[in-house]
Amino acid sequence: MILKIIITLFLLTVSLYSAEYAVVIDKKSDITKVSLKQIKDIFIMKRHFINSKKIVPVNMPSTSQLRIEFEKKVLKISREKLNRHWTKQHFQGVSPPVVQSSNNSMKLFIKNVKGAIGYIPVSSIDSDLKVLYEF
Amino acid sequence: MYLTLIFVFFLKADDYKLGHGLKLSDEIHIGGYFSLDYSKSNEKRQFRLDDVAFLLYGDLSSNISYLLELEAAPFYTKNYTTDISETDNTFHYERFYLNYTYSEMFNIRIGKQITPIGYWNLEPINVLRDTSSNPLYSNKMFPKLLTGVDLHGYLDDDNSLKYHLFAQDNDDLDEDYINIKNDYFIGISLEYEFLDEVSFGGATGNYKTKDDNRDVVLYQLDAKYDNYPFVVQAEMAYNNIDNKVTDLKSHQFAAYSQATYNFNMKHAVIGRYEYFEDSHIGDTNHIGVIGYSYRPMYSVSFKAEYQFNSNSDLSKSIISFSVLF
Repeated sequence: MILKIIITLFLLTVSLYSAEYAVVIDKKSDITKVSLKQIKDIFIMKRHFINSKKIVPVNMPSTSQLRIEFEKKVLKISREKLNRHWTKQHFQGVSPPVVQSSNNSMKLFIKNVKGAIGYIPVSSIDSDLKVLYEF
Repeated sequence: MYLTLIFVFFLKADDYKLGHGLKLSDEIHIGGYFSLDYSKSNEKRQFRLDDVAFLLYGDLSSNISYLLELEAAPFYTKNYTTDISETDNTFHYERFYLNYTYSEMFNIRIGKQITPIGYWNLEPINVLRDTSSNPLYSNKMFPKLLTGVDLHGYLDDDNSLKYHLFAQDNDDLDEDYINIKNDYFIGISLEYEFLDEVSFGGATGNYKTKDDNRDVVLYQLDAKYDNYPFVVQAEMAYNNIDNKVTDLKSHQFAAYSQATYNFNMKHAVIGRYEYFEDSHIGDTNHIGVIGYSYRPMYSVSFKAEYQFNSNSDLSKSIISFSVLF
């Protein structure tokens, strides 16, 4: 009985702290590792290369819960500050990342566009994608 | 009239967000900005439609992008002291360049562009600033725009240390539209970001003016602490001037320090102190600015300020309204 309770508590803890989403790239890419700062720099268009390879960041729509979680847990920048950033970038002639409307279109884009990097639920990851970071 | 029509067109477009421009394709992204201001001093009372500008930019390939900015400023001026109105709707080349992105370390920008020095010069338009006015530092010390080549990138893996090597050896693309006419400008600038909140840097260069044949060696330093809700930034520049016609040597020095406290994302108060001296004309200015900024959204700005000038006739109050679309 005690063992059952311990196992249940353990599984509950693991499920609570396991990642729901992941930053992914096409499996054929030779990029295997990126730091949190690099991901942040890529998605605010400050960084354009990883290991000398051109990177194309892809966002979900601004209303998507996945994007809200990504901004909160990975970028760690509020929506207001991001809006301020993109307004300044517009004056500098820099556009925000392209947007894909669903998990499936995000996966297709990543598989078809060289260097594309995006984020999807862990449950949607398939064998064509490589996980770079979980959140 | 045209501005109103364009503005309505933007607002009616699908997926348009004010302040982010309108993306028609990867190659074509359009936008613009304008500002209105009203100022009152002992000498003058005037209203201006100051900037009217249009932006066109985009990616021509995965490595090549471009930007064109056409601006008319001041577009309309009404001087209430003399009761004279003026309209100048000639659009000038503010920026027109091509970017080639090669790596994090090597990128090239060719054409007319903002001179990559300091903070203020990189965000020169009213709507992006915290005050309606510019410090004298931004207008008097170096050409704001460069018609030439800028080699730039990051010198470290962490993208913290940025460099620019820039050069011009020709006339400006649009000589009627630059603060200091010059036909030679070479320089280097460095900017280091320390943590997320602190950055500092400096620049040095040499430029030759066209109107009065001055050979100027520039030294510049800057620092910024940006930890919301507090932002403090300071810049200073020193010019060693050799006048090739009169053979006279002189110097200019300008500095400002500005502190901003944001009550929230909409409301902020600003204080700035400026100093400027020119040994050739024996001019010295101390300027204090207090201001208030209201942004219902970041791309729409209402500002009010009062400038205390050591030459009291130049003290003035300014209110402005500006939009980036």
